[in-house]
Amino acid sequence: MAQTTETPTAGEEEIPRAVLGFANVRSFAAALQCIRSGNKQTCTVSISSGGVSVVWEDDSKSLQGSVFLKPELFSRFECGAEDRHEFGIQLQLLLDTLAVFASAAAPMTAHYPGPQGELVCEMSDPTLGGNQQQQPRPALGLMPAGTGPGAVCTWARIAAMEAGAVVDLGAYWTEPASSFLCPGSSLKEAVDDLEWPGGAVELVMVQDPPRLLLAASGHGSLEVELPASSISGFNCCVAPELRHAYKYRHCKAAFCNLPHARDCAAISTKVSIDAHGLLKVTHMLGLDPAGPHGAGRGGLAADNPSALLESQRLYDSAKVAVVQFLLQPTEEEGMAA
Amino acid sequence: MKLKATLTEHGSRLLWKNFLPTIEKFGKTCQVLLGADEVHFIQTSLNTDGVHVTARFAAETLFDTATYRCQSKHYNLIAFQVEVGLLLRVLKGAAATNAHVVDVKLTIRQVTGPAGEPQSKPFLSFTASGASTNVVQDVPISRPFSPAEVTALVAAKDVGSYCPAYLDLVPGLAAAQAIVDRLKAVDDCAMLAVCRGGDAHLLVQTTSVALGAQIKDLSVYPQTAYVAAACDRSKPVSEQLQAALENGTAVSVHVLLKQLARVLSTSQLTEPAQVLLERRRR
Repeated sequence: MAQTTETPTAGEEEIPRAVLGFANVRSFAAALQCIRSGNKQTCTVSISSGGVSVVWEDDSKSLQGSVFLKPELFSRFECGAEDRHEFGIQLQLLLDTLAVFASAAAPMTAHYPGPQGELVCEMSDPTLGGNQQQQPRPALGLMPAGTGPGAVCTWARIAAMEAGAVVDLGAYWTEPASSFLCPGSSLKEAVDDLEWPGGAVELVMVQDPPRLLLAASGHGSLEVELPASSISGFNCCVAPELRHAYKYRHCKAAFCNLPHARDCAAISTKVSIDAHGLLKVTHMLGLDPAGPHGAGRGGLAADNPSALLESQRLYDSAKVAVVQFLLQPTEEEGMAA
Repeated sequence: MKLKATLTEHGSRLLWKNFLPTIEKFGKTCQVLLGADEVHFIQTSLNTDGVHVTARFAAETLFDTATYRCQSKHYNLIAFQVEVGLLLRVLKGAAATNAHVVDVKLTIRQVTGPAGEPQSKPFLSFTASGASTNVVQDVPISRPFSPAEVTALVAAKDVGSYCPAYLDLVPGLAAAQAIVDRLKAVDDCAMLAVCRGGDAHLLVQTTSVALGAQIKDLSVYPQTAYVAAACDRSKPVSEQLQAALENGTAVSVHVLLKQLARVLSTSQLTEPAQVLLERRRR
């Protein structure tokens, strides 16, 4: 991994900066969109040689959402092995900005920190200028490369805020944990349906025979059983059944923001529950929808629910972003369980 | 004052298919200025929520020159205000009934006023003659403008004549539209800058984000206004803009993105050969 060396300006100290290249802005935006659940979210972005993570914590402290992006996902990834950049950013602002960039098909470059400690994004799109040849991009990718009439250079500087101190709920993860895999679209449908009773969502795993139920009761009650055919890797370690309740709002945030398959293919969704009822929802999203993995209608796991190993192999080899949510159970139910 | 004209088929189609729908997007009413050689459809801020619209046609584009008569005591100019929707409906109707000829004339008719007394009111009378039908429709118009009002409107139509430089946006139009539509989510207002080196800049600036786009190497009109190498391409885009504003090769305005988006979207209906961007000096 190359260390970026930028000529220091006006005798300033040289700050090592991270440079990220985005080949397909639209799918990155779609992945980030997954953790959006309001207009006023502040996320903590951290960039290190291991990858980029964007973490958001709900004000209640009992819901966390995160997106993890491996270095391999970026067309360019420069971050010193020792460096770790961490800053806060308004998620909605970042998404609105990415939407402007996503309107063009060109690759985008982002670097941090900029001259005033901000996140700087740049893109130049020579393809819009008509029929001229693609120009070779300059080495740093930050200088305008587009030529020809109508070529567009887009740039943005987004103010970075102080990084919020997020305590990773995952640190409290206690084995043994129960888990299952299920297509994200089925879970989304089930959770969408559970909105009308207006109560907390109860997740029930029955050990033998394996059954998976989602139920909500408020001014009415509704129970959804997910068909065994769509569940795989079912492992319930509490006999006879495991039962925890979660706030509906949290479940909606965790299950119902999956991106459109056009932008980002949902490869698989894994749900785990630890010994204390902490719920972990992991969506794996293919960031290369044009590629062979994203071509399927609902992603690979939707076509073939027993694709556990397959999805692991895909994760290792392909362009997969990991979106993860951690939900704490609502208190009284958590005690009862 | 006399106005008599026969709309050509092409002229009629241009109006109902392309231009009147465009004008209708900006406001319900519009001012029409007819002269011996040119016809203008003008919307000032009286007709719209702030956008100034002018559509200019050569008289022969719209009318059969053999029968076109436009006479008045004030330089043979006639102007009035009309409701765009009514005009559009009449012309669409004529097209729908396969009229061969649409004749237009200015008439005064006696109508009953609100209190029951007879009143003289001006109308544009459209006669659409087809193979089997003749349809006559009268569109109420405002009182024809006084000479002073006509003079003011003539000045208003020449909105572009004070501009030092224009850019032709057509090559970057699709991109500009896409960007403007998305910038609306970030802020209401943007800075639009025109650089005589051929660049157009759009910039949205709030306390927490600066988001800009540069559309490069557009044609500059008139050519004498072109300044070669006005921008140092080796610098970041934001600095190019700053430098151009400082050394006077670029001028800027602040516009509402909502209005800019509407203006850019008119190109879908009118399919222009050129879209010129400029800043008028006031």
